[in-house]
Amino acid sequence: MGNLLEVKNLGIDLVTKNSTKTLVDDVSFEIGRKQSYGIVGESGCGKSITALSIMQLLSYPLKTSGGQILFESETGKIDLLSLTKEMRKLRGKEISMIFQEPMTALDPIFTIEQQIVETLNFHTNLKKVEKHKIALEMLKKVGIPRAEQILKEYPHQLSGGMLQRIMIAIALICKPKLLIADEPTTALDVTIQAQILDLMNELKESYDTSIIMITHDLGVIAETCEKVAVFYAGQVVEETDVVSLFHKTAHPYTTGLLKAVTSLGDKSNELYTIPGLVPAGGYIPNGCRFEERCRMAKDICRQKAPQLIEIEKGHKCRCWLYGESGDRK
Amino acid sequence: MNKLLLEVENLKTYFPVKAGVFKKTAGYVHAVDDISFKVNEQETFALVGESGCGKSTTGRSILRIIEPTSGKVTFDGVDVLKLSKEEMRKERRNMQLIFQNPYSSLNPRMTVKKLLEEPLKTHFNMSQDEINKQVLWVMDQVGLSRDQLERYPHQFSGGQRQRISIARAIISKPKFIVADEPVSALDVSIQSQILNLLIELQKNLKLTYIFISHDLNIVRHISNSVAVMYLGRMVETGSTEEIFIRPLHPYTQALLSAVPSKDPLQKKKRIILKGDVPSPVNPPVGCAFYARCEKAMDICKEKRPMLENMGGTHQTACHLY
Repeated sequence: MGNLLEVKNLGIDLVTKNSTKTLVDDVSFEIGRKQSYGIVGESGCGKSITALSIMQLLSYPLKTSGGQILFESETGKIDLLSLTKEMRKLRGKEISMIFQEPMTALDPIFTIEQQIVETLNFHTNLKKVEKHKIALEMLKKVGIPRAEQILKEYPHQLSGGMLQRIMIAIALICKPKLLIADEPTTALDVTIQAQILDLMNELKESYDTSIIMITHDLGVIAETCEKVAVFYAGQVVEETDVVSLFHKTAHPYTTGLLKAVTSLGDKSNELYTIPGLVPAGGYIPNGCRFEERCRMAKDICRQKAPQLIEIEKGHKCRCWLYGESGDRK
Repeated sequence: MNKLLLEVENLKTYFPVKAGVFKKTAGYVHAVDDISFKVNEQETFALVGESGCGKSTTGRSILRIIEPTSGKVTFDGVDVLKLSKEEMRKERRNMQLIFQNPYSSLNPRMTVKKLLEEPLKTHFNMSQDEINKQVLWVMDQVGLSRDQLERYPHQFSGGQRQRISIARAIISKPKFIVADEPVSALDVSIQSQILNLLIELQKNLKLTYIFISHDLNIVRHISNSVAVMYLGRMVETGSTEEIFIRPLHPYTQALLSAVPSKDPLQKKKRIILKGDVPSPVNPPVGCAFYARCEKAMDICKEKRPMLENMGGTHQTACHLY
């Protein structure tokens, strides 16, 4: 079985009158069917705009500068970047997206039912009664009590956790093949986060949907994903399955992120920190982009940018520690 | 054992809900409902809970940024709630606040130097020389370089802005700081830098913290004792070890189990809470947690549980014990 989505050498630029900044540079990854794929990184590393470019939702001044996004749709393999108006037929039907803030992502002047049915209006020719029935069933599936009543209510009447469930209901109403979740639980409390993550895992099984989970929280990755890409300054610096990421960590940046989180609770030691700052968008030095903050930086790191190479089967890393050939030096 | 610095007794903060044409008071939001705790010198007391549970309101009520409805707050032997406005303003040099969002808590039109001078000018009668000296001292303390003094807040990153807010809080050499979610707006790699800074400052300047956070991992790292809040009330309190190793209240247990594990191989059993936090306008008569609790009994619906001693400093409010 082929891959559902292949992103090849994707680049995204920020174009202004006077300058062009490269925000995402040469990003490639593949997502299989029914796979949950995690993208993790700090703010400004390009994870959200990568997701938006899959949905073709980038707007001025952001522009894709190259690469391909191949998607296995019902009608065959297509390059999403070559589509214009045809993209509308895919959005919401085959690929859909959940955003970070459910409170702002829903329209305050429409009822919940109107917002759920909107997707059905566009993609299907069902009768009103049927659409109502589908919306009702969907709400029950995402675990909303008093569904009949909630359909008539407005977003401000509901809590953040409920709204995120409704966002998920809207996203899944046409049974898409790919669901992109951009920080779906960041705005929610931990107990609600646990509910939503459980729900997403459950729905993934029953709908055969692949999920791209974008987050800055390694805990969320550990709980939900099978494969993970770590982003830093617009590049993938490490990509592997979730167990290797936590137990055979290769890149010094990933090591730092993990240590910064796991050393919490151990009071005897000072917290592990990654020195310095997250670089601003468009930061492209000659050498490695992480070199300034890296504790293991060598001369070569300053001079030449490392490539993303396979260091073990299925485990890719962008670091000079692993040399050109792939064996540890 | 350190000396007692702050004692809060039966603190209540209610907000009126107005309704109708004449804006009659229709009810009260019970934001903070009967909270008592003690904080010793040079210790960190953490308030944890979900959004809307009243942890920030508690912090602000202690500093009287929000006027509490009733109760008693004794800080260093002084009854804070009895002070006049002017006396309170003077007392604030000893009690400061660090805000959550460094993007909105700093005036964008003031340079770092002006921002840092401001607390000194309001609280002390210092010559410009002394002020300059103090500003340079505080810049060193929080790890900012001296040539950044003439810059404006927008020229700094989130982590550096939080350093500026911390500098503003410590420049008047207070004894006590309420840190209201000081790291939640920051990236993971920056969070640990700021937490280390807070711990270091506590040692160097002999500070006492009330640390408000929803992140249990951070609380476990930084605090000596913890209070877990739910719907304006304290449901469990004790030393950090007591709370994290032997949580007693079903809400604390659920909260701890909801934190995602940091290891994909270790799938822990989670207690998934149903539903949402009830409205604080008309809180339930019995236990506030009743509707979401797995172990709820009949008595929980009718009678509100009080904080009971569980040995050591550990207290919990639950009918199970």
